[in-house]
Amino acid sequence: MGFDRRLGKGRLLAAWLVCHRELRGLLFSPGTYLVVLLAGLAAHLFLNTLAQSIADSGLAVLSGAFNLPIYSVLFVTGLFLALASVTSISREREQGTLEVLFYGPVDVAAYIGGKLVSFGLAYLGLLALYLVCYALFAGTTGFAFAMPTWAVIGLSIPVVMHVVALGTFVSTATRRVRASLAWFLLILLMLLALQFSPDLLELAPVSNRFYPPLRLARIVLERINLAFTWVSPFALLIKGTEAVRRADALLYVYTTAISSCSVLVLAAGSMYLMWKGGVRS
Amino acid sequence: MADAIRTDSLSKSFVDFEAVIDVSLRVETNEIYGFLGPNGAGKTTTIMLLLGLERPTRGVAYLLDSPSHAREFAVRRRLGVLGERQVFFDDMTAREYLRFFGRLYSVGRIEQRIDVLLERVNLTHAADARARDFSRGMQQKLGLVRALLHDPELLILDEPVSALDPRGVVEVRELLHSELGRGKTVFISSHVLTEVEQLADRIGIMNKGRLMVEDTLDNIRQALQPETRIQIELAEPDRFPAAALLDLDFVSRTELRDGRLSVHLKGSASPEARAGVSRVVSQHGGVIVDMHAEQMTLEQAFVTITDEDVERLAA
Amino acid sequence: MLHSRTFLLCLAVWLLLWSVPAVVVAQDPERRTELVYGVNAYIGGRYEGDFYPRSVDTIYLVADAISVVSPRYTEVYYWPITNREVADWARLNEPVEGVLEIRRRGRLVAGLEATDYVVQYPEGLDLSPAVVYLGEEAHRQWNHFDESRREFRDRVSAYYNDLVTYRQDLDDRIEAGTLEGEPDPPPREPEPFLYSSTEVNRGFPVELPAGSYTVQVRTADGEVQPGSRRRLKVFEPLSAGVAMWAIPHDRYTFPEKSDDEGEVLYLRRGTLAYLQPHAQEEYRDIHLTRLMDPQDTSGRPDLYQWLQTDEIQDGVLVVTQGTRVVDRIERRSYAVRQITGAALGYEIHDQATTDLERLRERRPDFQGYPVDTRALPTSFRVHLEDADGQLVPGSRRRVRVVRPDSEPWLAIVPYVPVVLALVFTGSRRRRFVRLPRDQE
Repeated sequence: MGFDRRLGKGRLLAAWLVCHRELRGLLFSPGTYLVVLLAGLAAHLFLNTLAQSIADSGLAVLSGAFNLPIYSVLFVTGLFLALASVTSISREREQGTLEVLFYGPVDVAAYIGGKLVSFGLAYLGLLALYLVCYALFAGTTGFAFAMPTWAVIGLSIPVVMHVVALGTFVSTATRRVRASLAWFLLILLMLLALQFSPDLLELAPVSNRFYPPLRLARIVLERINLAFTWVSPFALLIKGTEAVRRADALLYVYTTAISSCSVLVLAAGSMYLMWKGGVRS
Repeated sequence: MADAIRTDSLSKSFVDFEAVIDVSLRVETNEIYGFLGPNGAGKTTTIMLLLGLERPTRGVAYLLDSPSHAREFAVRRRLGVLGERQVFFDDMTAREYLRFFGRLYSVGRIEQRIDVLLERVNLTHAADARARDFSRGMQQKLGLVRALLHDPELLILDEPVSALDPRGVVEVRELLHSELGRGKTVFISSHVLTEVEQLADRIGIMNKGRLMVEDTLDNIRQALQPETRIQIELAEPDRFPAAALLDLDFVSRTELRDGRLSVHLKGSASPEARAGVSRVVSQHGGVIVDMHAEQMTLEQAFVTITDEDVERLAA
Repeated sequence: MLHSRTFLLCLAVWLLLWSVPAVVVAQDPERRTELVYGVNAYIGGRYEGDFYPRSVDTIYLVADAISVVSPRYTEVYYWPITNREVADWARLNEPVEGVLEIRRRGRLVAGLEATDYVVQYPEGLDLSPAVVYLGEEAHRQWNHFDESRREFRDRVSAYYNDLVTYRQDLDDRIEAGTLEGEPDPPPREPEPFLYSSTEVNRGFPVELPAGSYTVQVRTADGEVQPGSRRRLKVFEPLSAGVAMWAIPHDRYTFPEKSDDEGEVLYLRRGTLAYLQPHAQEEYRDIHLTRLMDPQDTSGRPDLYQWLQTDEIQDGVLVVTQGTRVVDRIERRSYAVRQITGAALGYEIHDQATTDLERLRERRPDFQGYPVDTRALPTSFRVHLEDADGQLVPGSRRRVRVVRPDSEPWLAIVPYVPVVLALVFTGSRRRRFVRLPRDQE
């Protein structure tokens, strides 16, 4: 149960088997195919609308014809994988399969690592599937895979992993599937609220000196929001998208690095929580 | 010979109660150890502490000389564990489930090994059925196969026969005996006392978080019941001088009532004691028609030990 | 228990009172006299005028350009409909006398005296960069503007007189039957008066390098005027670029704009589009938003905005495919004619080649580089070359010519994985051994 100092062959094997089992579970899960369908339909809708718009107006300016489809994939697939990750560990704990795994040569690093890698590979697999579809579309219409599209695809990987790692962390911290879901949704809502609350409060009559509490609330939220800019996956996605738009390589690398670091920190946090809290339900 | 399991003052406290208190147990290599106790006695927590799945509040547990807090993967591969509850991964067949663990434990020739073990517990026909669709008994046997798959040195079994039918119990018993014959050590926690009585070389009984007693069953009996009684039915009881038996050191008194001779022994009715009584009866012309010792069963011992009044035994 | 209920009730009432619609307050806006800063801020070749009430503690200005700040006393009230504090200059507009001190990290950077200034657009508002004149020059330029305006009025007056005479003369000749052949052309309408200027105002001209400062007014008696201290954020553009407007030939009123080089310009096969390059500067969203509207707090520090400045008038649009130059397109002038009747739309005429003389002679409606997809490959790049043959930074764009329709079979692609899933999971389920009922 304790941390082994060296990452030996046994741990890699255990991590790979945990990852393999998770991927197998996703492969047989109807949810996966539903997500593929939804993302595919959304992408098709965007591309068709775009083609229609160009046919009607004669021209369109886009940073990438496939950016919106990629965002739709990012949203649908990311949400699905996040929900899968958030229920994954608490469900195993609830069912008792987690305990059975830990009877053998499995430790928290192998288990959490294997889980995260499985979700990463699942995302890459789904992304590859979508890209094949887009390539078909690009080939027949003339739409291009512009550099920003590849940059957005590259950005989407750490961002999705960031959300998945957050889900894994929540799943490790809680003991029941329901609690995991509730906490995760609460955290997502909180991050979204932090993201957009200053804009919403902007609509409130804060300039009026009769409303100092609202003014104060907005200042506080702005400050918190600024701090969360470097933690929230939503804020990082916006920042990264802005970096892509501005072709700001430094900001792009910085954003993806921060997102990747967040994944590592959340993974380490998950390992610590599991090590501390044990594997029993 | 090194101990397969050893704990030193192992304790585990939760927020509102102490689940395990100063447990120091020892399981020798190549023996079957029965671990008994009523519900809530702390058996499962002790097993979790042994496996390192719970961290002790105090003390330390060694399995195969490896402390629970720093157990190497290599040591874990030498353990076979059957949990109290059998759980299976979604949608996996029995073979896929065993294959997964076979790979995890780096078992060579997995398929062959799976076939052999499934055959031994009579589950070959269900190898490609979904494990979660199995009956409870089948699931328990499948769990046992998983625990044995990598040919572990030490088996820790929590209620291995609780859901089995008599035939299944026999299959498992034979399996465990054969494992013992191959030099393995078996640690069984169970409620099925008759099974433990038949299997175990030594027994440990837990109650209220404490290890009340740990010894062979005979020694436990002796400790609980200082005097045992041998009932003898003689061909001509009136002609036999019962007082002659008092010459034996270990006989405390005799009684002849309703044609049956009761011989009270100081200690257990060991085979040696029984042979001595038999010899004296023969020397005095007595003809023994029937003779049996009335000694404490494991169940009686268990009930006695887990009774609050005999906590003194723990001392 | 009762106490906590009472407390909660009071809390609810209090919150309700805070959230009473501001309209109620708007019935009788409360006014207060405040020291505010009126600012004429330079941004992208023009000046934006606004005021900073006391509730806004930071003034935003662009670096290395003259902006004018003017501390004044006025009456301020809250106007809920626009959610803004409003200055009532008509009731009170009193300049604050003294020296405007600008400090950086506590050190005095400048002590400015108030001076007269005027902001002018010689070629017209939005058509030429603004120029600010200070001191005596401000008065001279104002007089010049005033004189030009008077001359224009005279020209307009003369034009209308000439027009009346011309019409009268034409009517007389028609009546007399002496009109033969084409009549003389009517008098030429004077060119529109685009020259624009503010009146001469008084303020403190500020021109600083980028950085964070504080400003305050020190009165003649050496004291800092109460309420005059503000923070001053002076910022510079983060980068310069080229905004490329694309006007489709058949939809003049629906142009599209491309800000970044990473963007792709998609054109329908057969489309003729006119590209119009404009210089632009990039700023942080928060800086630009606050400069444009000091009371707008929606600007974000982590987002960026392009600010379009002048149209780039020199240069050639170079079309390339790989390293090969496919075409070099010159800038041309176009006139737009509205089509009346059922067709209703616009026609774009090249002024150099159009048959319509009226369109040839008039001032062009726009100028641009024609990109004709009929004569170009399906994928190419364009960039602007300046008069020296150098690439104009930020002007490179990728252009793709796309088919107007997509293949209908593409619609089934999203469903393929689902069909595969059904086949896959179905075949797996069939492979499961079914246990007899009594063994389940």
